[in-house]
Amino acid sequence: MVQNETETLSTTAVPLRPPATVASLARMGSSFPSCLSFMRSLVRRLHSEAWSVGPSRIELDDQGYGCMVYTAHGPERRYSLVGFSNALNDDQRTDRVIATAWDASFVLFDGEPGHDDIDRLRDSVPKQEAGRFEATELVLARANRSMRLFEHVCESLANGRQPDIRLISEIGYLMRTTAVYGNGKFGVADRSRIETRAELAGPFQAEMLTLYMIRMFTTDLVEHIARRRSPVSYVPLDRSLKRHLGIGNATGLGMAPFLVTHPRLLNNWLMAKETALARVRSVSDVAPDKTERLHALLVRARQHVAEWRVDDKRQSERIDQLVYDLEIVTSWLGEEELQKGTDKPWNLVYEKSVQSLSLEGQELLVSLLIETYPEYCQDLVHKMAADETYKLDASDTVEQMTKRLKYQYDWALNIDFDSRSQTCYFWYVSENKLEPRFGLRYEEAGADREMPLAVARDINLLYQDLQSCLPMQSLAEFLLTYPQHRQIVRRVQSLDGYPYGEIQDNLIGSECLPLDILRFKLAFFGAAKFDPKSDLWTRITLYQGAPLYDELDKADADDWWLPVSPGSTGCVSH
Amino acid sequence: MRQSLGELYSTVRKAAVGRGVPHGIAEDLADAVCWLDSLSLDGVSCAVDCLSQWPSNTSAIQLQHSESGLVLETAKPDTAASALFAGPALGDLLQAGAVPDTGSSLSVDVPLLVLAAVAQTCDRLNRRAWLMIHLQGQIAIADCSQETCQLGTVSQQKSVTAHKASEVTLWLSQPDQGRRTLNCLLSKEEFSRCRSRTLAEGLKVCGRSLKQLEAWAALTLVAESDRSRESGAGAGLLDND
Repeated sequence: MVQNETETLSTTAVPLRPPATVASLARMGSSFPSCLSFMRSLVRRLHSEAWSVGPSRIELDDQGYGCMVYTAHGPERRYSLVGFSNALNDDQRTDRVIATAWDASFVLFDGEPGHDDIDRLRDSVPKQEAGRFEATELVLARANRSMRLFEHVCESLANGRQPDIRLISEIGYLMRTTAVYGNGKFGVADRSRIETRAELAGPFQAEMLTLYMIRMFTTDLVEHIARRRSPVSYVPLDRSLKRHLGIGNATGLGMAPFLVTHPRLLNNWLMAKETALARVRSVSDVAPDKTERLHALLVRARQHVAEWRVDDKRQSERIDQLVYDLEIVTSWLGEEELQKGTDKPWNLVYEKSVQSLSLEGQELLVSLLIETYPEYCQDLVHKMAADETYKLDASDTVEQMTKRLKYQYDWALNIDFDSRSQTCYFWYVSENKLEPRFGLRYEEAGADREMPLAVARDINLLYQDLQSCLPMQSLAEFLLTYPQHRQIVRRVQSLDGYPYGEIQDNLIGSECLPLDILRFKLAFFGAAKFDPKSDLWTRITLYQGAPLYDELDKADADDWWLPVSPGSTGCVSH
Repeated sequence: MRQSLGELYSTVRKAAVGRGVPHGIAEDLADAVCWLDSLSLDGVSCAVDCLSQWPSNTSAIQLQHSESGLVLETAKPDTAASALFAGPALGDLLQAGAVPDTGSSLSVDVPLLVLAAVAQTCDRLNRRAWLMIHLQGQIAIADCSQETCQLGTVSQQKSVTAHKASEVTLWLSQPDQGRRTLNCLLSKEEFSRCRSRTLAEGLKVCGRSLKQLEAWAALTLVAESDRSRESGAGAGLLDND
């Protein structure tokens, strides 16, 4: 249970950035990972609690088809990744969530599976959404091989040589997941069953553990195939290359509604990040080791960005600008003004960034500053979960609700929903594989089955109907007459005290870019190297640069922010 | 058929939306059904009954101001109100402190759903209330408070006026049971055990009713078009990489 989740965190000399600044789609869509990211939280826990993680069962044929089980042993519990690898024709392989077959399918099992469990899972897991699962299954996932890289690595290792480092750096993964399900979907355990466990209480920790072990699965699989192919000439994958391989993911709109339907979670994530930033900006005297650390991280960041190549024109231009922005930041850090013991020098740098850098430049600087002071995040990590149980207070009056709207939602009330451009889009669920989609309201069918994600519009509709009622009328009476507002009333009341709970933009307007929502959430997962393929989906890489499972005990196990290619300047070493 | 809590909630909510129920009411219905099924009270079938009858076979609810407080009434005197709206309405009155001392009575199509709504409101508000409903042919009194709901049947004397089977009555103070005795159907301990079991094992729900809910839930889906298919994750000239 999350306690005191909206308590004011440590007061800081520099105030937190306001919601209007932080919760805009454009800034959210410029996010970068930081030490608050969920993958980082997981790895820190695995390190600090001395978890042991490794294969417990390998049953693969010469082509690498079969079953592998990996078990993570913690101080109180064990969790096992059960993975099935199977043959797949190239014409069946697709990233689409509407696929029906995959190169590999996985489940995170609560404990260690017995033979009967494995047999049951062998039948159901490859079916994914078409299968049924038990409460012993916590997460369901699947992955496809990278056609560009998987066979290249196999063939290289089988022939006694390491794969092309440029290809590994460019692609970054051997396999990519196309869906990761938890929280009761298809019969897996409800989150409420596991959320009281310390190791799973944080956001998406079960999913992050699953992905960490899938990463191990992919590198072990490719080595197995190569070894069986040519036992005499085979060489294992170089450790530094293995570390630079993460897990790819094709992320689409399925993730977007989540942030809208979990506003308290959104608030807590942003509150943690903004508090961490405010703490860093409030630092008066900078210790020399911190200056040194920031410089080292900046070098790494510049290398990481230099290696970040995408096909998307808009993102490519943003990256070019980011390269330039980081040069500017480097020059600022060399300036005399900052050398001479300036009060709150990081605040000075931040304020300069707002005047001079692109949004991506500003947000990369934010992540850089936070990364320099990980000790400022330790207490914040535990405040990022949320209780999303909403309560409706029917004793409130019309007048009280009206005032609340004017105070909390002035940004929404300023939008003119009489304009067609502000109602341009609608969110809906496709009957094919229940995939969320983003439609053009005035050109496509289905707007009558719209998902309730147009918060700003619903606020306006509520406000209008409140104006036609007596101020002292109770909401109990109001909602009997206007039951269509029940959901938005409950939301508004439940977000009192959660200032960062709303994305302060119109999610059905012509300016809405769903990609911004995806990137924000993925940055909190810890993803990097965003590779947009359209306005609606992106490829990313998870766990690139993370310690391997036999490196979790190393002192620098948490030092893998913005990883760079092995051997390059600023490389993460373990 | 086994369902996780999350699955059942989602299916019921979508089924209600598919039938045209406003989203907030659909959420309340989903909460009520999960609550009932966690206590093995077949909330799924209650949801099917309720959604089948709405709107044509049920009456709207209206609120009247009286000297004693706000009084709920059905717009059509001989037609029961839908529990879809009656449950939340009674919960709201409870919260607003607008239930008269004499209680608030209403004729409802599916009383068990009203019980769920009232019990959950009491839990959220940390308040206590009593609800009379008809259950399996008997009059039952539910004693609802935070984190628990005790349900007992009443052994009636012949002189007690028979209530309509669809009538529910909500009180803020314990009703005078007179010569009636309360036989416990659901104790506080059993209530907690059921909830814990649900989290560990999921819910066993009526398969036929679930299929009906899934059919209604499918009404919220939109048929895909070429354009929509092109915009999903992984779409493009090369679906592989």
